[in-house]
Amino acid sequence: MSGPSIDGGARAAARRYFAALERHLQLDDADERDLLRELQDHVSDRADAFMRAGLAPDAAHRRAIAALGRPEALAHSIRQARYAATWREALFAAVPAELTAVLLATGLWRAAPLALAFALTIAAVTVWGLWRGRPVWFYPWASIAWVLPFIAGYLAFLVISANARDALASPLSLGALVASGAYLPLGLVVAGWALLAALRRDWLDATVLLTPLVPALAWLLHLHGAGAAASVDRMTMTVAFVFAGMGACTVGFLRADSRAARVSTIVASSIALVAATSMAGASAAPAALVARSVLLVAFLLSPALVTLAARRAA
Amino acid sequence: MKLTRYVTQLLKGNTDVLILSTLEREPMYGHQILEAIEVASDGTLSISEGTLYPALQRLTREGRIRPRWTTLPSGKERKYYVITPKGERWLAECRSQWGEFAAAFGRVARGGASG
Repeated sequence: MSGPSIDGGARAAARRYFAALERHLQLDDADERDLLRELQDHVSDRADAFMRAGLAPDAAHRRAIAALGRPEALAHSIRQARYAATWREALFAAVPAELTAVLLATGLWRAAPLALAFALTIAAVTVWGLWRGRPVWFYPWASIAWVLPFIAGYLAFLVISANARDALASPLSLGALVASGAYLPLGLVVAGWALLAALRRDWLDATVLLTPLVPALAWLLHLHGAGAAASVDRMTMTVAFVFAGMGACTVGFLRADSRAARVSTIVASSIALVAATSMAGASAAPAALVARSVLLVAFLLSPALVTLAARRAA
Repeated sequence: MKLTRYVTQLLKGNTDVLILSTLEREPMYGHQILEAIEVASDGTLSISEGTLYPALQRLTREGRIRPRWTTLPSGKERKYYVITPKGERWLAECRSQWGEFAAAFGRVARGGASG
């Protein structure tokens, strides 16, 4: 695009165009660089073709840029094509959160075969999504799958607690103890690797991955304290409600066609869901609500800060 | 032939088919696709960059094409698009439906002349 014979005006026009396009594209960094490079190559090829047809280099470059159309319109069409999920994709993405809500609300999570079938389905669909190149519905499914190692970690912790005393007396207990002890670091490594992989692609993907962690951990802590009484109590119903809300927010998130709209969806839904936790007995005082909202939003948007810090360090 | 608004409307719904048909012959990059469509249609059909690049993004997302950066003999790099088996199957289906549609449309549009 920067051939030796084009004047400063055409060069500046191209620079202005691509700066405006970049401003409006709002894709993740690698994709944005790739696309801008492709379009700059296109302008170069188009300008060559216009020059072969007899146009002066300067006019040829200006016409090649003009052929791309308004940068806002091109960026909007590309974002729509690339990110905005269809209704079918968005609804499919909401399925795991809604299934979690149903399992919790009905107490079916206590039926081990059903809970295992649920976990296997979530894991299988996530692996399928990974194989398909992480389509738009992938991260909402992966986010629930990502919580599974934490739940398995909790179960491993229970096994360790139960078998620690008589481990030496029974080989079975010893085996369970060793396997559970080995799982804990392995589970953390797997979860950390998945989070880093998401972060490398786009911090917003990592944010989506983090979304179910807080309600899931809160529920596990509650379960640990309440035991069987947690079957369908107020806290469990609140967590079920939060997951149902997350499913609905997933649809809104995926139908949004810009990053700004997606970040707004995350912030707004986090605040709404934090407010909902007062149903479970959490303080509904404005100061407490604000503090919980700020903490949750900061946690969910922490991948953005990590990315920013990494960029500055680089 | 100058494109009428009617033909432009027809073109809008068939951009993906035109792109995939072009890529079925050989992998191409954006500018080549535009030129190939114009040449193959004797200049009747032309799609704009504002239509082409979003369509390439969509087709990639749907798994019907796959991008691949390739170095040309000149040393320049260009992003080529390759049609995938999924894209080939979809194209075959579209062609079959288009054939049926065109035949049916022709029978109705020709009116009394076909009788």
